[in-house]
Amino acid sequence: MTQLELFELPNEEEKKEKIEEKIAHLANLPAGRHGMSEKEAFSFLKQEVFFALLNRDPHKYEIIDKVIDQAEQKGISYVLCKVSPEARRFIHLARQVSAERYRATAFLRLQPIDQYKVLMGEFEIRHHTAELIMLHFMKRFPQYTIILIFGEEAVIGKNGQIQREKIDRKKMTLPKQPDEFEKYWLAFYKSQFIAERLNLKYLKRMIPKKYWKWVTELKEFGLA
Amino acid sequence: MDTEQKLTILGNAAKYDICASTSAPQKRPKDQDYIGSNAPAGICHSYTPDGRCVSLLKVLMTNSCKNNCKYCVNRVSNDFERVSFEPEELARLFMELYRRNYLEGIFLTSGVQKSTAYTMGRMIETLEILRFKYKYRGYAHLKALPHAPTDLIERGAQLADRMSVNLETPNPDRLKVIAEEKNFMLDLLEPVNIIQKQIKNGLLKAGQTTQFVVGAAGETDAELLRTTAWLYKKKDMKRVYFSAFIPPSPFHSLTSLPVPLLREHRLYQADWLMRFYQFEINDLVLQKDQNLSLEMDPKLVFAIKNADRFPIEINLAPFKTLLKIPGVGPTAARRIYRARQDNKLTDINELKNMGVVVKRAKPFILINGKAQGSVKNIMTVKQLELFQSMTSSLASAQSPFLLT
Repeated sequence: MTQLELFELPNEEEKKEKIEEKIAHLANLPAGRHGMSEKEAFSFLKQEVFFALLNRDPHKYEIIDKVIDQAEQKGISYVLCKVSPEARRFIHLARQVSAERYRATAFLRLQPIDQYKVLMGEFEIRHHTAELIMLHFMKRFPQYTIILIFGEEAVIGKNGQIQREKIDRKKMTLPKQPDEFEKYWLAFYKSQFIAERLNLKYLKRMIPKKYWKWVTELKEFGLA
Repeated sequence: MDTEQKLTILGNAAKYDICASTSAPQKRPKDQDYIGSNAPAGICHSYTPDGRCVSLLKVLMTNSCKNNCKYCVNRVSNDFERVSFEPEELARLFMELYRRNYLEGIFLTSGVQKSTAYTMGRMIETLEILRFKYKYRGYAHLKALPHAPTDLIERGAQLADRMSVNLETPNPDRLKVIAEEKNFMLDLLEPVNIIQKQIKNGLLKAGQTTQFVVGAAGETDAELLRTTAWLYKKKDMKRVYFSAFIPPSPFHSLTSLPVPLLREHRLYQADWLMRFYQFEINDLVLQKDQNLSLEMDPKLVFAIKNADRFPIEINLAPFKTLLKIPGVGPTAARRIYRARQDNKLTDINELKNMGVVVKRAKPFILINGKAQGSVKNIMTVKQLELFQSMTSSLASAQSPFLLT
């Protein structure tokens, strides 16, 4: 579970370790017929457990525990293919985490502070996805220091290292400076709309309402 | 003219060009002295109220054009203001928007100003500024203009992740209707061939794409799908896009009416069946007018036309057969195929957990020999009546252009 070791789950370390121990046994399962190699299936399951553990659902340990038992009894495919309701819920937990990570990388806007070579942004997250999101931006902008604010916490990515710091929101707000490129972005965004294709239902599906406050360009069309 | 106005005019002129995908293999840079990265699954940074993804800075470099294509708002005979971006201006603008995480990549396209070589030269200059001056490693899509010279396509292929040529129509005869000065084989298909060679040489990791304007030239779905299948098979096309013709009023000079968006949707469904569901072109069922049904999706039409092949035993059917069942997508089919190797599937709820749309699938499946439903439960009387009129299927062809 090297990937998971990178991440801290505050107040959950003991439970997390138990899951790590339990899943390690699955690596020794006799070869079954998963439609993929044993190694692939095991590493795929580990990946899903990793994402599910980052979910804040209070029942996640119970669900993960159950599906690891099912994997042992009926094979890893039984879980990965979502045959049982528990397996379906387990994969759903993992998907919620990867979806939140995806949406943050898509809708989080960065503000350059050029004199310090910093890119700074703010977003709201529900699950333990801060590091996953930071890894994306650090890879994309390796020359910059990235500062991401998630609620009461700032996550800082610099020279390949990630650190977390508690912040006082009353004292610290993102410096909002007039930005000519925001104006250009809005002009471009508006130009892409085709009135004959209006489909608000689809828009709402692609950008769930809880993210509208970050996607400020929606205001150009009286949304958000 | 200021940047904001240019963006409005040139963005508006490029909005009918479809290609939102930014999916491309990740590059592994050796140093840290770069900016940008590719996301293998692509990222959409915003959506317009029409539900379309905005992930690429998609503007024309210029709306000046020497061509006079009847379907195009930028054609030379239209009298309106012409504007252009300078390569450095466009490159810098893109980099600033990219740093703010508004965009995932750039889509370079243009009207043909002076000559194809001149205009493509400016597009390539923009890409060179991005790649070498700004050290940009993210996604770039370069449009090859009609009759693009070989050397410029080769240079573009070294710089871009994806290239495309808009074929616009499925064959030469239809092209004459909307763009009589363009030669289908020389101006459009030849660049496709040159791009294909670059892909075979290991360049353009995100492949090549093309686009058809649906309905502008009076073509049928049969013509479009035959050419589409041919492009996938013979030209290694990554993706074919369909754009329902919306007359760019008041400038257009065609008599064609706007095309229902549902027609475009059905074409995409048929396209997906060929790309992901292992359907052959002959499997697609057409109406007598050689178009797909607007009433029913092509997979359901296939299942009803081939009623003798159903219901299918879910625990025994080969993977390819599972893909033919309405309500079963490639992911669900893969899950069924894998899961049943260790444990027999016994219950419709298991299929539901696995992502099968059971309401659609029920009439077409057996679980351990037991039927699950009837076709009459999922079709309206109108759909059943319409189905009676559908009998023809698409004939396969080596080259679709011989059959027009």
